[in-house]
Amino acid sequence: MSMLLNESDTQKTGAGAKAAGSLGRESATQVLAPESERNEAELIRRIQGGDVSLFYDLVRPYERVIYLSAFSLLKNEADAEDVAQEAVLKAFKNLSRFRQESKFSTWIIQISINEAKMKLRKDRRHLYDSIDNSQASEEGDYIPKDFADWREIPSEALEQKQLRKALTKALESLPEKYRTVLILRDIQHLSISETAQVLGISEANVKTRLSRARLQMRDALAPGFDGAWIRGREYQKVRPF
Amino acid sequence: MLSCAEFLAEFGDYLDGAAGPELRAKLEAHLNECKACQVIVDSTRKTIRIVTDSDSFTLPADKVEPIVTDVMARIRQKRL
Repeated sequence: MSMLLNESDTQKTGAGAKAAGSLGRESATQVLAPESERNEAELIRRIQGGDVSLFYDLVRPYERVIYLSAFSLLKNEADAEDVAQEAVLKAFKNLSRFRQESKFSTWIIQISINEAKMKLRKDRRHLYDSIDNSQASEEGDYIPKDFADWREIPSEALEQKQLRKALTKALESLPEKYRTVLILRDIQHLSISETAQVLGISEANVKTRLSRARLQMRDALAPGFDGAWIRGREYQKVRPF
Repeated sequence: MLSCAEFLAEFGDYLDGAAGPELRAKLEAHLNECKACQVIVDSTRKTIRIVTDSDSFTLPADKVEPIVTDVMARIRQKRL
């Protein structure tokens, strides 16, 4: 099972779980907080001045997003851990070149994504399919599946193991370019412009990919269609497409 | 009035509350007349809530912790 949605992990109690949980929301907040940016600027100056041990404090809040960015492309836990480590090391080696013209978070996520793409290229160099579709146009409409209603989803369902499985399956079923945008925007809470900067695509492309990612997640999670987490209901189509 | 395809092309900003007044009025006019798109908006909002709030993407500490600590160890071996 994917690390992303490991049931045993989410049910942990104690220090380990608290530590893991704190990485979730706080890291997203720190990505956006101006005060953290000021603290980071000071940290970076001190690291560049030779206080190398502070690098841990600088990077620690972004471990989760660094890892998830790599995982969104690689879909493999071990590879994502390796790439995340390489990305962190690369950030350290190149910190002197970081001019603070962009956010540190954006910069290090870019490194992680680039490292993941390089690994994909290396691993797939004998294959014929191109994996770098970041500049591909967004032609063609995505037609969402049509259901009569979704009011049947109970809030308690969010805790169900089946839903976690469905989320894993749905996320992994997304094409890479949609999965990456969804993770950066809806899970890591980067802004549209930050997501565009990290991925090197236009904001319009981010918006298009995000809409399609959300619709495809919706279709994959739709109860009674592909979601095994609610059974026994039939859904009536309201349009014939 | 917008067609369903036109609505779907623009509804991302609407979901994020980022649609301007004019576009928002057009989208809501379509929604008022189209049950199918109402369902899409409603269910996509729920999807976003599930993805965003389910806490399903929390990483286990034993996996996350080593990423930076291992790098710090490598840095110290080389630099300190």
